[in-house]
Amino acid sequence: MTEDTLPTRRQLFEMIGKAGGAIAMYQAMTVLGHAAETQFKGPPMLSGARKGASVLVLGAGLAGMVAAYELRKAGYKVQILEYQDRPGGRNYSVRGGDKIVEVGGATQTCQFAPGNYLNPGPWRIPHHHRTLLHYCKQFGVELEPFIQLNHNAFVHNSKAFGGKPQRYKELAVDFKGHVAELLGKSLNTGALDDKVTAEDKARLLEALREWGLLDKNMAYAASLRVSGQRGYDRAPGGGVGGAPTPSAINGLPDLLDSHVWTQMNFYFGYVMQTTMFQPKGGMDMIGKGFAKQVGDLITYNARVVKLAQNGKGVTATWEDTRTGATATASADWCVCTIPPPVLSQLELQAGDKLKAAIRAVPFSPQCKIGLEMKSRFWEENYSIYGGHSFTDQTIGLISYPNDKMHQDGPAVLLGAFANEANGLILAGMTPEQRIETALQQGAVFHPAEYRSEFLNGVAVSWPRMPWILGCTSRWTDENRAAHYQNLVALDGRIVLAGEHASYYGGWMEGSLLSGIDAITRIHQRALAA
Amino acid sequence: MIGKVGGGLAMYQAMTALGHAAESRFMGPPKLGGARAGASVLVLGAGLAGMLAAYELRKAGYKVQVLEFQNRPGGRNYSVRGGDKVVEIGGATQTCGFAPGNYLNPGPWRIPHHHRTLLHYCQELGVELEPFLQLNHNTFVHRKTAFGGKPQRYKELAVDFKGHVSELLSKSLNAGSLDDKVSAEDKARLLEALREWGVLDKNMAYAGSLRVSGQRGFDSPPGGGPNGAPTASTINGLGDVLDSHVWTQMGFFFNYVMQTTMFQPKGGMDMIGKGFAKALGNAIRLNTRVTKIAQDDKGVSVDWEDAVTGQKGNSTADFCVCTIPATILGQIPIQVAEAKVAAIKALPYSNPMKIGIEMKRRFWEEDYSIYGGHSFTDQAIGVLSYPNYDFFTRKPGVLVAFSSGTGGYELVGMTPEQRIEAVLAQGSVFHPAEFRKEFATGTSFAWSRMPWILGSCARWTEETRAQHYQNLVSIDGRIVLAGEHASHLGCWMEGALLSSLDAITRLHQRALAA
Repeated sequence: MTEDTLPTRRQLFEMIGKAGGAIAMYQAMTVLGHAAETQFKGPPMLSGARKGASVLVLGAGLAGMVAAYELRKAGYKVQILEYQDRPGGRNYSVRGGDKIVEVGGATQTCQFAPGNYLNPGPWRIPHHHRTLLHYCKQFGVELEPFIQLNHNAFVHNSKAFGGKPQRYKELAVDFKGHVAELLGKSLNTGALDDKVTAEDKARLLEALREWGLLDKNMAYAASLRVSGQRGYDRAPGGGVGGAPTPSAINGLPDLLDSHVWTQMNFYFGYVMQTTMFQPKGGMDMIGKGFAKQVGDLITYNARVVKLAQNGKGVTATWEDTRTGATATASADWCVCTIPPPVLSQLELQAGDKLKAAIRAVPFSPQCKIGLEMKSRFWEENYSIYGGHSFTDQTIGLISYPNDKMHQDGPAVLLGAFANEANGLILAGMTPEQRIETALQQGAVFHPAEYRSEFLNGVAVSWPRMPWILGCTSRWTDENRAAHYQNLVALDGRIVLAGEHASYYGGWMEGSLLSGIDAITRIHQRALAA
Repeated sequence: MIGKVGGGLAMYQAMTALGHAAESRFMGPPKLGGARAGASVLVLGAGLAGMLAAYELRKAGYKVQVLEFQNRPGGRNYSVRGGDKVVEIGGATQTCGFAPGNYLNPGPWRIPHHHRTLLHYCQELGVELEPFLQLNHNTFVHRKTAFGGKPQRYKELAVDFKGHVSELLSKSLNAGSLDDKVSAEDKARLLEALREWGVLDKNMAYAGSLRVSGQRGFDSPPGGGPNGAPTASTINGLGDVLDSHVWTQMGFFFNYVMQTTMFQPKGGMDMIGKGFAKALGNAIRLNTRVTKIAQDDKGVSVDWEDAVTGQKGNSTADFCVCTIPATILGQIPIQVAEAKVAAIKALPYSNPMKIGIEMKRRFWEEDYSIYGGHSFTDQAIGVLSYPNYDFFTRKPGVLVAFSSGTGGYELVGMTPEQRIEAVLAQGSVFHPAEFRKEFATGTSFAWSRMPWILGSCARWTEETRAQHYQNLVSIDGRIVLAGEHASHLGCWMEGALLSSLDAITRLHQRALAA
């Protein structure tokens, strides 16, 4: 073989893939040094489907639609039943004119200006979620950067700094400075001589001095050099009065009050690391992209009330939510992506273990609130472009929009992303009370502007959405050990899919990987049947 | 209101008191009221400093003319595109072969979120900005003497570094060796912080686990269905992490001027210069090489030569804002005090170079999940940077090598062809299978070999600044200097603009007093 005829890496993978199947290809990629960033091995290869074989897909979220898309490509006859009047499921964006109706009847009509939106569910895409990126590219969904880490956003802790928010950069630089100084002291007093070699000790001291910005006495102290990271009291300028003045540093106790390590840690979470993306124009562009492919297969407003199966096939009984009329849909196989909080309430002909698993998956109660503001004051007055300001109040954080930066308002701030107990607190309020809470608590970051620039808001409390009754699955180690394999196992002719049927709970990538895995196993079962 | 009453300084102090951090010296466009009718200013150089001076002085009522040596406005605010010629001292000539839409920003390429002056004028001139992805956890760090020369992902090294630091510090705390430095209460809280931040286990040890992999990445990442369980990755020992010098990058990303969020103009950095030039129209005379700058108590007189026709000419005005870079100005007769001439000659310039390498395929995105950001190496090329536009497309992309310090000198000494070969050889360390195979074309830009500037930007030392800076920026008769070199923000466009605003504000006061 000459250079020219050597297979490319990609050709090599394709060859290995064809010869040895997906697992072999995956292993080859790992050996060749491409880190195992995803379990995605390309779209599934479902060849040899029997003529006329059919699959019923329940739910037109991402898991259901990727299943339908790939199964139809493989030759299956596919039908999708969807409870809502739109595709996408939690892949969803709320825009001006949209109605949100909660369990209990509270109804909001979103007032956002044209072009503005709130992504109440997924809102950011990690660079290593290859399955999702693959389908975005394939369906022409345009992505733009989601600004995750913004050094200039705020950290607020009610018990720190007299309740005054601090810039992330100041706290984080001070934290590493104090850590470096203390470890430097320990090393220099010989306290770690039994743990670190003399050579590594010298190198670590050098590292601490540089990384922690320590002075020649290995102390972390205010200086222009330190201000070159945490910001100046008076920033450098031009001409005669251009010299900068340094900022004062915070002492260790103040820093410990702030708990800034929580944010420093957050940014290092693998799923939170830069670079991240969002679809241009709203997260639901992805669901719409899928729907363009499989929309003709979807029956909307179809509430499944019963799912039965026998040795020959599956039958779903459903009700038209507008007319109340009842109908059935039958197929050889079923991919059920109905979220467990809803699935557990319908009549399902399946083994006890699967039923127990469905009931055991806990769902989280997030609440997101979108606040439309007249101007982009966070950019103009605070130099904050995208990113999040964190607080220990109920709202959890506020997040700044990543589109239309530097333009005029109105623009939508994420006024709350409340988790766990905080999500439940907000769920217990009326929409108006939630927005008032968001305004009151968010004002801690932008006191002069928050109320005067406010136009309108919309609150999405996931446990109160009738079609899902929760946000995402939250497996614990214990219930995963007890139930996960039962949840994902084929039960006769039915298989479950969705983010809850993955180790990527709460992520679109988990839904897609689960959908692909489920149909790969259904296909194998269908061929063997 | 405060601005109108007390002037800029009062407004600045008020803003600081109100809790708006002092992020920038910019206090809005200068208010140059009451210019005398017919007063004129000659601006030398149509870079950002010169064009901003002309733009604001003209708005204030001055008669302004700008003389520019090159055949284009913008100066170092510049982008090289397909078809553009790059001619060096010594004659080496390259014609850029990039595909349409692609470019290399050989000079400035990223804009900090706190450079308010630049952001203000971008907004005013309609220059559209997009994010410049500075920090990418998934790029590589390479050091010849670390990991057998194999590049490591930044996230793995950085997570391991903070893990080991946390473990060691917690050991010291638990052994009581810092009891005289840290109160009992803070000790307990710091241990909690280290456990969380360093991802330590219940024994306060940094060890491979799924929890640690949740930051540094998995051996097999989480998936769906029955085989979806992830497996943990292996951590690096302290010695290996120290070999990598990853703290250099960890510190770099914390630099105030390097912190996220950053921006770049859509379509190339020169959109900013073009925005100013459009606003100034025919006030700029291009291809005009200044040969002498003289002044008396009536005005300034500048001799020049047309670089195309050889025609000689002379321009006069009441005042002069001179933005010619010190490297060039030092060679032009200028009628100012000796102290200023000494300052001009004393100013050191840096000599980095950038090399743009166009690749047929965006393999860094498709095969490595790298979107924007930089991979670092201790080889001469220094940094390999990934493009921040046209993500996910099938368009060819331009990678950028940014070489400074001794690496820069090494590459500058080569022919353009040798430089490209050096980038291909050294960049291959990050992407061995693809780097040469996907290479389409390259253009190198050596600042010290550009006849119009002979260097990149001002690098004041504390000593030279103490001795010369005030002499450089002071008004000398009817002449004032401006540019990034006349600021405390050397090498940044913000410095050029702030210097210019300061210079014209002082010049205006002088003109009113004259």
